[in-house]
Amino acid sequence: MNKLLDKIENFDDFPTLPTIYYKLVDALSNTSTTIKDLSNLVSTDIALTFKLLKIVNSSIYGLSTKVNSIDKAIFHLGFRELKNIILSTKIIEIFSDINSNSKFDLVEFWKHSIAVGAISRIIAQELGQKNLDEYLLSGITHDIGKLVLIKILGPEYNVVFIIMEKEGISLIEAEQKVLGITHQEIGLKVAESWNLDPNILNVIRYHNDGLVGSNYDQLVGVVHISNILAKLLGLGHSGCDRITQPNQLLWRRLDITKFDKESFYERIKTDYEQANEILIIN
Amino acid sequence: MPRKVKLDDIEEGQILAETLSNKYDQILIKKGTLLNLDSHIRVLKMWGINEISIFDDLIDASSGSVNSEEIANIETKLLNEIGWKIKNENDKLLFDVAVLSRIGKFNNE
Repeated sequence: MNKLLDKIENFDDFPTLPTIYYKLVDALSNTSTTIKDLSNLVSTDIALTFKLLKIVNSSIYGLSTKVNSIDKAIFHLGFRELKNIILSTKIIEIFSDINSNSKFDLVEFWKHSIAVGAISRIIAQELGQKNLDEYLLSGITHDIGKLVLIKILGPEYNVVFIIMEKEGISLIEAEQKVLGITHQEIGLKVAESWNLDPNILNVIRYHNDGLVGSNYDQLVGVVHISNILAKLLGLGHSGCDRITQPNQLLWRRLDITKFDKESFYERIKTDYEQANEILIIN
Repeated sequence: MPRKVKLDDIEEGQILAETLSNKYDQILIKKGTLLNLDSHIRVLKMWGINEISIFDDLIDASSGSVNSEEIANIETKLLNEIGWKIKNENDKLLFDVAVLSRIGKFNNE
């Protein structure tokens, strides 16, 4: 009998996304929805309005003109990216009640996740991808399972970190051993309950492997690489010190050797700082 | 990479990439100095120096001002921390970006 697993399986107070998000999803699926409709909806949430404008005007977007209305922001972002940005901000908000402790720091956790998102977005842009904010969102959601487990177990989750360090095993192995369930599995369960896109579900489930089963998936691959790079750069802290080697099979499909390392690094620093400033709640 | 610029083209924030001396071999400005548009340029003009070698910014300068031994130390330390070997150019790029960030921190200390 595993007491902790019992606690996880009987937990029924999973975080939910705010109604404004679902209203937005409804509006987006309706073909007659206009920018005006969406902007009216977004404007009911003042904090969200403020954040959206800050994001669109940040150097992450690098627009040449200042965007000062939600209409224009939506016009620049596009409907699909609007949804991804709103999800990114709301997911960070709904976990803000988690308490940090000696083994886990919530702000450092978000810094890490935001770094993964920012790096993923930059790589995707360099590779000529269009849906860049899906990459940002992927970074932000990739480890939410850890937050769910900490929400359920509180400091009891620390046993996982202790066993991981003591036995020199990976976090996933430690979770499997102590809890009988991994943060990838629980993260997937919550993301499914939120009806997130299958692409994002893949990221949550497969970002540690880098491949979806044996198939290449660009989003999963890029997040896998960005997760490693964020750790190499020491941006934030995911709760796990180990830096694994990139999945070598990935490099057959994903080639970043043409990147200019200096400008890549400069861009990471700037975008990471800006995204942190906008998204992290103090 | 350092590049040559005329005195009139020097911009705030650029870093001197060579140690400049006058004709008596007295040092005027040391390599790695953050250039000040007023005072430094005046000195250079006084000694008839009209072209100097600069780095554009700190990152640019860090690859030059940290010596190769220090870079090698940073690389060895990082390799020990990660515990895996660099197997190809893609691994190398990630590793190099991490080294670059540590050189940046090193210079700021």
